[in-house]
Amino acid sequence: MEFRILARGDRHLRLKFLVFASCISLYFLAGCAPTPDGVYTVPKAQVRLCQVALLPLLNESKDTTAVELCSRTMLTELIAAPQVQISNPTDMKNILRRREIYPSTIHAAPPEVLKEIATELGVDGYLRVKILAYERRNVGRSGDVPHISLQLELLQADGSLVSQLFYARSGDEYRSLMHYGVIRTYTGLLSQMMKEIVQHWSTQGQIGCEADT
Amino acid sequence: MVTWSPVIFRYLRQHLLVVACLCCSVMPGLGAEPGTRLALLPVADVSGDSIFWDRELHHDLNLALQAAGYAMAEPEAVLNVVRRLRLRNLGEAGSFACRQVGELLGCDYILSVSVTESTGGNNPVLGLLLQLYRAKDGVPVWGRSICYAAAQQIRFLGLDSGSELEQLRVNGIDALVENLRDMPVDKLPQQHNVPSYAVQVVDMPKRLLRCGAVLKFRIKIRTGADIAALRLQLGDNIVALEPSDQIDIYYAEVNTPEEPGVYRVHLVGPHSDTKTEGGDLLAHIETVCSASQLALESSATSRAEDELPVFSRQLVVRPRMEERRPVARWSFKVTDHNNNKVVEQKSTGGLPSAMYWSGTDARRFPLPSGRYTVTVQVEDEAGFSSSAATQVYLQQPREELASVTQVHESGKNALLLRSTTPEMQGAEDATWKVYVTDLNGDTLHEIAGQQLPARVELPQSLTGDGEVFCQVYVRDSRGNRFWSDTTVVREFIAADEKGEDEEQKFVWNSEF
Repeated sequence: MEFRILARGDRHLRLKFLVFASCISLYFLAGCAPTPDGVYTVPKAQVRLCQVALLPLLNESKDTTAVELCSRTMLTELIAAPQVQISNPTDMKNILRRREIYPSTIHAAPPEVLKEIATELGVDGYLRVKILAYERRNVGRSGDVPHISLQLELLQADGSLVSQLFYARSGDEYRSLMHYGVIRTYTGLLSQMMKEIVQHWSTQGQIGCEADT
Repeated sequence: MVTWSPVIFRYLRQHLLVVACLCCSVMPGLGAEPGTRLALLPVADVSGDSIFWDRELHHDLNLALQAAGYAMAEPEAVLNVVRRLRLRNLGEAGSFACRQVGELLGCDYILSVSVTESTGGNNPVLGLLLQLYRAKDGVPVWGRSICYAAAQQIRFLGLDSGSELEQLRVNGIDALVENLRDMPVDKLPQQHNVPSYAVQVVDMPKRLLRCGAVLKFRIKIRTGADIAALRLQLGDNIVALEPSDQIDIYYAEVNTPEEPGVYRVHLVGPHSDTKTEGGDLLAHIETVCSASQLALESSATSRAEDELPVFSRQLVVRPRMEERRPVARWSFKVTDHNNNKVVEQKSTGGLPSAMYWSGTDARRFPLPSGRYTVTVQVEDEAGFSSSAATQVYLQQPREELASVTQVHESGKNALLLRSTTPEMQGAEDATWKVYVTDLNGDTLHEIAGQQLPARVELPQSLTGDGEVFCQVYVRDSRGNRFWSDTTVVREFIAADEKGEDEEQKFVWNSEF
């Protein structure tokens, strides 16, 4: 309609429209202006991890068998992900056993210990995971579907935090049509979750092995 | 007539890159392409359902991979190598074990398969995990998870359901082979520092030693190389490993340095640099050359500097070591004024943060009031002993001598002291002190004297600014002492309002 007004050559209306459009433009461009005190936020130098080791999982769910399935499935998906290189998981277990570090204490390990282990494994970061929920939930028409909730932390070799993520999914959330798409196995759900998590970190630039251009 | 060839050529020229990419994506993987020699580790069951078909799955997978063109290591040979290398958990192989498997079986890749879920019944589910390791350095190069649920297998209108667990297994094997073929090119960098040994367990009796002491090690180590090439390094001292009667178990004895400090114990190989302490770190040890000072803090309190700290019901003693050290053993001992031991407790291991004594002997009978000495002795893991002692006065409640009553007499404020055991020997020559404190615990006034008086007058000025607190300390000629409970004095009773009954409700220590 406005274009028709402009085309008609109604000068009064055209002026009104131009003033209105200018106000709208100014309103949206205001966010680009520098802050009054001249302080600019500079993005923090991005840390990108390429070679990562998976630390033993901490299980806070009710199911005591969750650790073995989750750790193996996560490892498989991390190995499969092209964005990240994972160290040999058994090497990590051997180092922890030799140093008498137990899975429950690795989450509070001092930075120098993490640094030494990283040097020994030849990795530049860790993935630390806490299983918060691992259970089957009845979601009505889909019946029992698995539900997994994780807390993931991406750490540098000295233990400093790169990224923290809380991720919870149910098999029912992947329904596409009727019963299709619903994930009914823990392995399948965790595999899908890990794909999404790795993709998220890759998009954020927190993991990746390709050289910066 | 339309000539199609220029159109097709133009199309191909424009989309050459796309076509090339598409061709690459459908090409079989070059990492584990058919013709590559694979070793399939025994199937690891982590499903918790104790499946009985893991051997069967191993066999079927071997056949399927062979049929797909892979050169498979003999399953029996793989089992023998797994037994020989004593791999702890099935499906798990470290970089050293991978290299060993690769060398012994002559394979390029090791395929590990785990069953994560396997439920039969009406709604069977199956979860399989595949991990492919490069044999020469143990780097995981490819992984895939395959999972099926019967409910997911139902096709349109329930046709071709394939919902049996057996059918799921067959589907899983087919998917595995198919996925392995689609594996991308193995372009991961090769690890060149794969160790020629793997340390499993390090046993050492203690981590704190005297300077110059001998440190003994017991190491479980798997090695494919000559064990004589491995050395143990502690500081500048380097020793060889001594074999034992047990498989993979070796011993070593090394002298600790003469200087106190924290040292690293390394296992160095033939190519490790001993000057930079290269090689695998086995442990940290600490050497000490003297005992750590010990101090005691007790819960007993003393009102005056020249008086012993007094406690009545429970004494809490907190030992404080100047340096934190691992403690081998400790003892807590209480002796009376004649140096006779009345109670003692000995223990090994960590030093508790607090020790408690309730004024009883070893048979839990109450001890008489008097002076006692509490001694704590600590021996650290290096064998250095240190001890500390503190003297306290035990005041048993049953020996109290006096009660206190607040009275008002002739316009003066007074405290009436009453001996509850007036005929008790020694009460006549008692010395006493009355402390008057304010809300903050600051002493406003002290009154002291010999012979327990019947009444003590308080200065009128003390009660002007609100409530004050009174406490009486009495010591008899036999050395028995007591503190009365602290009693608050809020207001004073006018002389004409005071009666004999009202006086009783101001008794301070009715439960002496």
